[in-house]
Amino acid sequence: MKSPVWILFKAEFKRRWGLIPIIGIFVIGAMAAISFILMSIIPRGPIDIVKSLQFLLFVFSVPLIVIFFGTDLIAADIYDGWLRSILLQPVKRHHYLSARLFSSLGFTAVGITIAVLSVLATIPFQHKLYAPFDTEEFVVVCIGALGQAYVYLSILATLSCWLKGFMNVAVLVGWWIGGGLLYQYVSSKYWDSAVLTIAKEFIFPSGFVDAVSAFSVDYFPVSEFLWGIANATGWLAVAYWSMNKIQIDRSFE
Amino acid sequence: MNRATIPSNNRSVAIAARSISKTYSPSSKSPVQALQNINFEMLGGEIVGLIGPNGAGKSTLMRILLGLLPPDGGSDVRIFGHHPESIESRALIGYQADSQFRSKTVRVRNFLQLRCDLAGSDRRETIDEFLNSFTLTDAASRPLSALSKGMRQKVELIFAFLTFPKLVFLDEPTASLDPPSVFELREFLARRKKEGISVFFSSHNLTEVEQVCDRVLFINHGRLLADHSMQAMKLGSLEKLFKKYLLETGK
Repeated sequence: MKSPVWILFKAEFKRRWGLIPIIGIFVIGAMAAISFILMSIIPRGPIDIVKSLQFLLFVFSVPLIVIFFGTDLIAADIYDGWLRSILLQPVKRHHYLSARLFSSLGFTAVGITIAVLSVLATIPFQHKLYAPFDTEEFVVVCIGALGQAYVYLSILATLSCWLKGFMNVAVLVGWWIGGGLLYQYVSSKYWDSAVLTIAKEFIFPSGFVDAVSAFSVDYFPVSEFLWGIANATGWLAVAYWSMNKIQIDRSFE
Repeated sequence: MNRATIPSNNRSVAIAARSISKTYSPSSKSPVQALQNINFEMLGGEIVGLIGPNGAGKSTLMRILLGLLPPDGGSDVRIFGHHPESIESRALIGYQADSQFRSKTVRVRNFLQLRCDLAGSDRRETIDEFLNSFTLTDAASRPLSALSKGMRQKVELIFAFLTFPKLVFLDEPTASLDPPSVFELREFLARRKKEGISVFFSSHNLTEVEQVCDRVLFINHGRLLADHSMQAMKLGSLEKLFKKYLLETGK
């Protein structure tokens, strides 16, 4: 017998994949390409494609793609009865959550790939001076982007267990802005605090972002990547805990 | 209480409900006691109807039996000896919901295939047979959102029975069905009963309960007021009994 996670994963792809996600992904890809062209207009020496991609992915494409696929991630299934239909089968809650998260991550990976390809496709037409392409750094940027997307999706899944509709994204955005401001304020006063370093990872996890930023030819950011993995694992645990706590059948309410 | 007597030799207990109580908002100033000390057993192969007025506690009881809602401490529910939330229990049950799931992207056949896949059942021909017997063959490739309410209810009924579970829960199974479909469903339930499938269903349609069920449970104000065998009752007497219990309980 096949694993319930695999069966649900395939069902999620069939259920979620359609014209709207395809259009959404290509619109975000096109926006990334246009942004890259606009960034290239400003004359500032040879263009570093990987650094530009890093900026575009982390600041622009990944948040947009994650919002696109992470809005109402769990709550929608609770309120339309899908979750009840699934969990009355021989399926555990963590099977469903794993399939839901991994399928969303799969869509996000497709979105990131399209965004990267869209940016790269503009290069032959721009006739600019480019810095040497660092393949290793490129791979690190892509893996980091996917890792950070996974952290965002885990947070959105957790929030969506408790909040309906767009609220999970609204809270995440508010949290991101508030957490950033708070961190800036506190770090200006207690910049050498070890506790603050850990608290920052708790307030807003950014291990993968830091890892990609710190990467260079001479330095592979192992500790930053481990922080990223810790972020992802920690939030996954919180998402599983939330999933096990929620009332899955609201059809009678 | 007129407790129905059913021979239990060689018949497994499909549902064992002991001391089921449920209080909503227990720590608030005005807690709502939805169920109070419900006790009953349902044997394998029985068809048991659950009736009562709106707000009586039928839905709460159904949710607890399905493992969708935890009862208060001290309550105990077993489905063929298993906890209702366990994988073992879920592998033995089917549930017909109230046809509210109406996805634009999930097609009828894919929805039913998912049920088979999750149950580990490789019976593709069974889906066709069920679709045919519920006159839904032409709708197999349509999304659930494109179906009428009655057709969605039929899909939910197929979903419940598709993998031949030992116990099926039906929630108002004929609410959106036309008369010919209701007749077909009665015959369908009679055939499933012969196969030994147990059915527990809640309904407001007393005629339907009389014609289909072996036993009927009457619930009001969260209490189980009666547990009657239908064999001992004359046709049409359920309505009189229903009125009698309503009068006794003040509603």
